[in-house]
Amino acid sequence: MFGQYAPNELALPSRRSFLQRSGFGLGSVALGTLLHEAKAAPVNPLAARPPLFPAKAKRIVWLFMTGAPSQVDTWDYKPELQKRNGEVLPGSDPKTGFFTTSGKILKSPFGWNQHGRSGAWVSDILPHLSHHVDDMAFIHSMHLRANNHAPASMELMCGVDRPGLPSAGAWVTYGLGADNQNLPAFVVLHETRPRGDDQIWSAGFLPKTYQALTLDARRKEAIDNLARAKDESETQQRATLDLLGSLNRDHAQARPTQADLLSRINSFELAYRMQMAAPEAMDIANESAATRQLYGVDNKETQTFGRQCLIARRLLERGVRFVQIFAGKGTGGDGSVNDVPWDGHNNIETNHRSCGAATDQPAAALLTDLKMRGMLEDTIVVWGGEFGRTSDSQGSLGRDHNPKGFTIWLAGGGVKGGVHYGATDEFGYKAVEDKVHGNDLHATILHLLGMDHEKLTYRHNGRDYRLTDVGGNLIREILA
Amino acid sequence: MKAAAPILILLVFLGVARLSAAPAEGLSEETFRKRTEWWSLQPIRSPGLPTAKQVAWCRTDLDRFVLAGLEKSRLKPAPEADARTLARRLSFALTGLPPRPEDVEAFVRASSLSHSPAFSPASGAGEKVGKRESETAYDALVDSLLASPQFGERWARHWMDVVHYADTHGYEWDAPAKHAWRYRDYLVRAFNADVPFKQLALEQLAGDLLPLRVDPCTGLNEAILGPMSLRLGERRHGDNAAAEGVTQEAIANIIDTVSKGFLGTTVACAQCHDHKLDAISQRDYYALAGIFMSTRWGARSADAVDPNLEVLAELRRHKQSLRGELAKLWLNSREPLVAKLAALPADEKPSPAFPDSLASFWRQTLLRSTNGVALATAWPKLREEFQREREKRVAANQTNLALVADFTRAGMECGWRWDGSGMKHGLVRDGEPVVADEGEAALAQLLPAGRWSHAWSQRLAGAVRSPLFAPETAVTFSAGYAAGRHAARAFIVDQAFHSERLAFLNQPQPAWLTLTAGNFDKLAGGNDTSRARRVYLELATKSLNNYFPPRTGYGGLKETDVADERSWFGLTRVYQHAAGKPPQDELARFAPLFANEAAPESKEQLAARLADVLLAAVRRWAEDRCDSEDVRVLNEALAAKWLPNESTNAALAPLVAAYRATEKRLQPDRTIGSADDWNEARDERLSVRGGYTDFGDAVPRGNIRLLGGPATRDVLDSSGRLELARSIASDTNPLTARVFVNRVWLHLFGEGLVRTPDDFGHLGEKPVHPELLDYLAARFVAEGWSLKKLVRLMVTSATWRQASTTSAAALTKDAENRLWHHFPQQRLDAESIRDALLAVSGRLDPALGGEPIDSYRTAQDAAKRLFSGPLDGLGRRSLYLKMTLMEPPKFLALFNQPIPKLTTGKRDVTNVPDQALALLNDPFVLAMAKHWGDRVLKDGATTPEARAKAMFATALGRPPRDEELSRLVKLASRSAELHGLAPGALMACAPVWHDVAHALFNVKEFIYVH
Repeated sequence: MFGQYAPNELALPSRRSFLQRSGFGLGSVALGTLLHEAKAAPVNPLAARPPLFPAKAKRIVWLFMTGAPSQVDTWDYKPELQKRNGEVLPGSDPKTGFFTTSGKILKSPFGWNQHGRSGAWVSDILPHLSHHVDDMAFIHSMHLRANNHAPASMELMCGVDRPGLPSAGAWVTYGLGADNQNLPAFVVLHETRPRGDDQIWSAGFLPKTYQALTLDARRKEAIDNLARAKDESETQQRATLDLLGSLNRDHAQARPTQADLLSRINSFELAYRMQMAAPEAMDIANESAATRQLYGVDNKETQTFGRQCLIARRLLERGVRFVQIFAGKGTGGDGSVNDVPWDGHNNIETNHRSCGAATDQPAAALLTDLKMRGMLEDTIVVWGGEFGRTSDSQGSLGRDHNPKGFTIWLAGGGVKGGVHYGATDEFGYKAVEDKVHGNDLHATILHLLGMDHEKLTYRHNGRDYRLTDVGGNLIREILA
Repeated sequence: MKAAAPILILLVFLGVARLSAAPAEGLSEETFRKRTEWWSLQPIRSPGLPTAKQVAWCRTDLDRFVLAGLEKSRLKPAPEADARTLARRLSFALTGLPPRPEDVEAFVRASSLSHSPAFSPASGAGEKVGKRESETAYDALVDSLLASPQFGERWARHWMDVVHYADTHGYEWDAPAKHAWRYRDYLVRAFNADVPFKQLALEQLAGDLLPLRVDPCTGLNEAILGPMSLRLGERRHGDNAAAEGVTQEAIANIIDTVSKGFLGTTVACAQCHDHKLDAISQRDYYALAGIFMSTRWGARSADAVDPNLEVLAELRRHKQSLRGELAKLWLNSREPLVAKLAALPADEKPSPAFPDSLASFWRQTLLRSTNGVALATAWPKLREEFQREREKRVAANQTNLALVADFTRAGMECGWRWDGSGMKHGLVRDGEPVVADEGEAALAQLLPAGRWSHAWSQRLAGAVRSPLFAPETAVTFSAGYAAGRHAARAFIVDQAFHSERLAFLNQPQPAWLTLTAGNFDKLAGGNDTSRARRVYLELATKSLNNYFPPRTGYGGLKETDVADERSWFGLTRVYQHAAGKPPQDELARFAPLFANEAAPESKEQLAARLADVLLAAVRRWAEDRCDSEDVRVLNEALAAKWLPNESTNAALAPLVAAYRATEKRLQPDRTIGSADDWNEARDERLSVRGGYTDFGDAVPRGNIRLLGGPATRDVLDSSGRLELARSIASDTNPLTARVFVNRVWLHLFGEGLVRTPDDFGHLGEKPVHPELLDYLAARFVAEGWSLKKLVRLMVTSATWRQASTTSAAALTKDAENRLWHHFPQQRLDAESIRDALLAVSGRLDPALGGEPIDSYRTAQDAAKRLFSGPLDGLGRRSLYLKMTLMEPPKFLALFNQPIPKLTTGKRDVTNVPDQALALLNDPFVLAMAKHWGDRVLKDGATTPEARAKAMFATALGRPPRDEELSRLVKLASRSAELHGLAPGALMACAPVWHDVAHALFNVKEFIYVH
């Protein structure tokens, strides 16, 4: 890739020096704060940085089940709920969710079976994932404060339920940098625009260098402006870039004290390289038929999420640090709104069957594929929604939002498989045992990546901020 | 004591008395006193000028402070930048646009003539320098830029970062911020007119409570446009009764914006606890929260000068004539009327109550007489039934109804208020005709006495709002109304911004709207536990409805309904009554039928009798002495087409056409989401750790304590917002002027004197030049808070005019340039980059103001009204691209336009490859390159050198050096070669010049000022 231009034309003696210099520019604003001193030596804010302590996990993929799956219809089996359908739910609070619930127990309409050596109960809407339970560490006692999609998604991703704070992906990238300088370090894949939009993958007050690159599955072009104009040849662009190189170099030489200028020259070169690296990373055309089949990319039901999971694997392989996929709408469904596919207010059965069908096989494929490639041991996989759902019914067949108890599982790098941590009450309604807030989950994920959540700080408005705000307890029980 | 109890309860509600006498939590006196010793809280005192050696360098007093600092560190200022650099720097700084090359050259020529020696003989220390400048070309350039309308656009945008301007509210649906663009235009006008910033601060905090400030050009009341500043940002739909905290979240954002924006102080963190370092306690937060929770956030009409008086007079004449013609037609139509009535069929079964229309009366009378009873026998029975029923109903109404508000007479609204020009001109007597604005009917209907927004046109606005209902008890009431075209009613709970208790009204004929308010249990389907909700009712046409359009699809709304500006409603009287006992129809209009005791002998006689009742009503209507019962009868006749009412009728057609044509000339109300204060305030209670359900004592609402605490209120139960505004917009407030002056410095110098522009507290950075800041702040106040004078002072200083290069020595001693030993080179902000692309390529449309233009999108999202607009935004400046909070214009966001959710005093300046990619490949950039490349083909240049030279100067404000020119020309020939052109054909080949233009956009210097 670097053979396409003569280094001397850009006055760049070597690739190494080039990367150093390009890094010099990639957010020089951030430098001071990055090292907590004003006159820091120039470093690349995206350069790979060693973790604080040796860690098993190097990267993470977060499968965000947009709209919030019901814990009692997926991973949190409750015999009492099944037995007492239609009875009054003890302790039910009609203001738990966004609308109003009946206060009457709604049993899970799905079949339940135990799987794996660990014997984990899984409902029959997730047949593929159920093969992987022995790799998963389940947290059944997740809870949050916010009870609507946008604020809860912020709370789960940024630590608090109001805008302005950086998301987990930005923090991780800030902490560890990227392993591939030709690709962004934090990538979000989505189809419809999730509630809370940019805020849930925002860099907040962190330098914008750590903001996610978003890939919209509905768009032909994955990255804005990555493709040259149709009528511009590569040669033509090279000619323009060469001219710019010389003009800009003159300009920079006239102003030796302005570091920013030099870095901006280099950002053109990085852009030029990204034009090749990014499409290659996102092009699944050369994946084998077996792989395509594994992810279900040629099946109508699974194609969107399947493509996203496959692209995620390719990105992770190429050194992207944090990939997050927001599940889009399924093909069936109960008429729930597109941007919150798992939001089964009206009919939990039809809704969850459709969402399960759209996401189960691809998610399982990702686990299988990562394992096959030896990547699962240093890649964290997270699966979960922004909250859970009520154990009592909304209307007669649906469930409302429930931030008081839900399940998230982790697998892969440094995670102990087949473990169940925390518990909800006998109806799966509220977390009662070993409660886990988003801050605790973040502390654990950062630990898996070799970072101490209390030390990963950023000074903003005179205060050292953390992803975990003022909370965060490490869940040691799920560490391998 | 017992007797006093009810009063006490009332006072507690109003927040005057507090039952809990517990000592204030929060900062101890000692801590508070210590913390208020902080530098930024000391009074601003104009310092004396410091002594310095090289005073001859100074052009303004400002420079003395900088020079003294430099000399103390044994540093020298950089030499003055050359004229071309200054011209470009000034143009971007003051207008956000690049200078035209011919203006740059004119300036260069003029300054070489008028330029005074850089160092005039040193005069005595302390003596003003700068007089020598008065005539120079530089001053003339500064003045002309200050006077250009683009100055206001540029500086409005700076302030819009502080108030985080957006045209929508984000959250889940990106609902529109009600006509926020009128506020944006208000800022542009204000900065252009150099309205004192003190006045702007007042208006933005409490413009609804100030005397009108009328803009002579637009006739708008500028003051009422100001409070939009408080409303901007992410706002959730729904209200506290549905999800506790919705309004509190909005208020937290308002407090954050006001405290950071005007005071450089962070108060929002005190929602949950006392400030850790500053003299801000949790009580301060709730003192401010009490003010903003006592403010109503409604849409308001901003027309100060009624633009429609002449048109309305004309409409009145047309309507008068039409009424005369209709009266003639109707009075002459007895025969066909009798025939039509006689042809009506009998009914199938009697209605349970007494019939309420002439037609149903007819049908039931016939039904009885055809059921084997002769009319003569049925009639007396019917008469008796009628009289009994009528007496019963009259008695019931007398017992049940208490008049709450009367809209039939001016001044009898009893605390309910109306807004909008439709309402202003809509107070009508019984029988006022409404001319149909389209279709085959001449009249749409007749109105009963009341206030009707559509008496003249459905394009005029109207709103009616009630006082707060008592919080504990349910109140049931009925309002006489009619409404259509998505006029709506909503209960506003706890000052919700976007109440989803909104229902569209479709009731063409006057009827009763029966509602229950104050029954808070019912508000959330029986789940709301708060007993202290504040609730009022709002009825509004589209443009005065704060939440119109609501989220897409709400209430079956279609986007065509959003586009249709028509909407209407009106009210007659409002009665309170017990639940289930609404006003009853007293049936007075039937009385004349029975005035004659004798029964009609035949169907024909009955028809004639009905016709005569109708014609008597017509006669009274013609003489303008009809009553509401006549109106009801006549509306029935119009709806049933018993009376001639065709717009095509020869006598009516010209009058209807004239009315309709004139009606189109009415200017609809110019409305905006603003604020309102109804003197119904209440203090807020401390929330334990910021929760929404766990409360401590109430805190007297008012300003934060370090600025004097709650002021004595003009009106005991007012919100206190006006008093807050006055204490912020005050010559003696130590923060407001300092913070604003620092913002201006930051925009001109790239960094502030205080480098944390939104935080002058303990967590912010202290200024290196506190005396300079005070000097500027004192002078700013003394010169009437004039932005233009302040900008002029700064840009004419020697400090600002320094070159952007510096010595290695200076960089070693002061790497961050805190002593200002050179002018810091700056990357252009996002808007200036896009505007420069438009300007340089010749695509810029310099029009000022107006509705925002959708930005270009590759993926639309109709469910959130994220539509795609033209690629080049019609050539309009970036200021006018629609700032959809959910997805702001991508090109601007890429170059660090801040996300408009929180105050951003200082923008990030990043350098990421996406920016390079955008300048290389973005279709907008390519389109501008094409536009420019096509345009230069007609420039008359004969050589590539001449053309390239001119283009270079247009892009960068300076002629190219020889080697730059030769490289550019080489690019042109290389491009020609790649396009397969013969060397001679290059001058006429557009793609070659697209390439040259594109390359110039990508020269780094294009996005920098030096």
